[in-house]
Amino acid sequence: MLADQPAIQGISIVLVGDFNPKIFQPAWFSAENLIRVTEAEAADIKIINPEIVIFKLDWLEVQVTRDRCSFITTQDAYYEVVRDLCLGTFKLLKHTPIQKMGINMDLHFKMRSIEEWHAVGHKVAPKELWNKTLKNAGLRSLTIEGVREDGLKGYIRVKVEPSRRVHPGIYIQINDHYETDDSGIGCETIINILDLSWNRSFDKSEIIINDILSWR
Amino acid sequence: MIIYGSNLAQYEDGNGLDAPIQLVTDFDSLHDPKGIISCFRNPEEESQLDTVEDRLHKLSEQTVNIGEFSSPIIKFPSISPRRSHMVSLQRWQGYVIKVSDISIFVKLVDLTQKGPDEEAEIPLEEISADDKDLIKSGAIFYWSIGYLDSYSGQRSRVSIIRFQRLPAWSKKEIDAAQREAERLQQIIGWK
Repeated sequence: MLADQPAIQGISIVLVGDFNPKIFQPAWFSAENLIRVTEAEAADIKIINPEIVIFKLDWLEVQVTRDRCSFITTQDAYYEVVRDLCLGTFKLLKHTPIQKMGINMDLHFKMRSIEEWHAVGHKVAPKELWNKTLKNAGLRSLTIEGVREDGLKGYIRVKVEPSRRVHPGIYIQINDHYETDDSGIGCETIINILDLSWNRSFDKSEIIINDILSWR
Repeated sequence: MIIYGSNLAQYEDGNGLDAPIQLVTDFDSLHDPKGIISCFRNPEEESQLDTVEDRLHKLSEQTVNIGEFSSPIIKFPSISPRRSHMVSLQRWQGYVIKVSDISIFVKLVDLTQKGPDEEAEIPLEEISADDKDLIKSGAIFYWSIGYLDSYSGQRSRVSIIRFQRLPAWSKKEIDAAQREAERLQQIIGWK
């Protein structure tokens, strides 16, 4: 559980492989009973052509190009629904080659004071090194990457920045990145990883976030 | 193929993959005498979730490569669509135990914090009409209570119940589950 409630948050599941964008239309999703018919009818379709499809529902944005497929939500009530949508889609399109996946979280936390805001920056990026050469050194962006501990191929990358949406606030992005060695047809491996790693990915992200924000 | 644009994620570097693309919304601007062109916001400084639209004037010229459409420089006015955000106060995953004429009896697993499972009775009128066909014993659903901040700035207290939609299991999957169950049965030693 997150110790602090984010002011804004969202997730995206991003898959990298070989896709046929034209399949990914709202009508297809509703025909396969993956979304409601009324949602498909009310979808805000940005573009549909052989190279790219983008549409939005109230709680979802889907973006598909030849090499990338993204499911995005900014409403945490729908996190598991988005995961299920992704799982359902590629259980049906099981021959789609997918080699990489990111389970990505983006969060903005409002700090209670400027002092608290600076304290987080100082914690993740101590200024002792910089203060010798830079006046009023401050964190603009920090990205740090760690190897996976679950035996899977990939990495976990964390980015910390001052928030541009809430002030004083901290923006944290966690990119839980998976890769497979499969070079053939199919997405069973990566979809199984999504299914089995989801809870673990969230638990790990919460630990990382709580550690970053536990400045006191 | 190069795609510019980032919204939820920030931008892609040599090894990363996390750049959901962000389409401009003025579709008249996508048409060009040479053919249709798709255009995206530049991620260079578009760093964070739903980044504020304070640099729109800088986005008037972009170079975009989308598959076979390569490198046209186009001008377009753009607006950045804002999203509604929801932060849940409480989230559960539930499954239906029993269905009556007026309500469903459910078991709830707390997704917000670890705790014991709970049982509840939910009136059928709480369920969206489009999900009513999915109500049956064993059906999985997600229930969240929290605040929804609309893109117009209005905060609302909401309760969202959403039934799981997954394709039916294939015979291959059922057979695999059966084999796994038998394997576990042997390990445990049940007869």
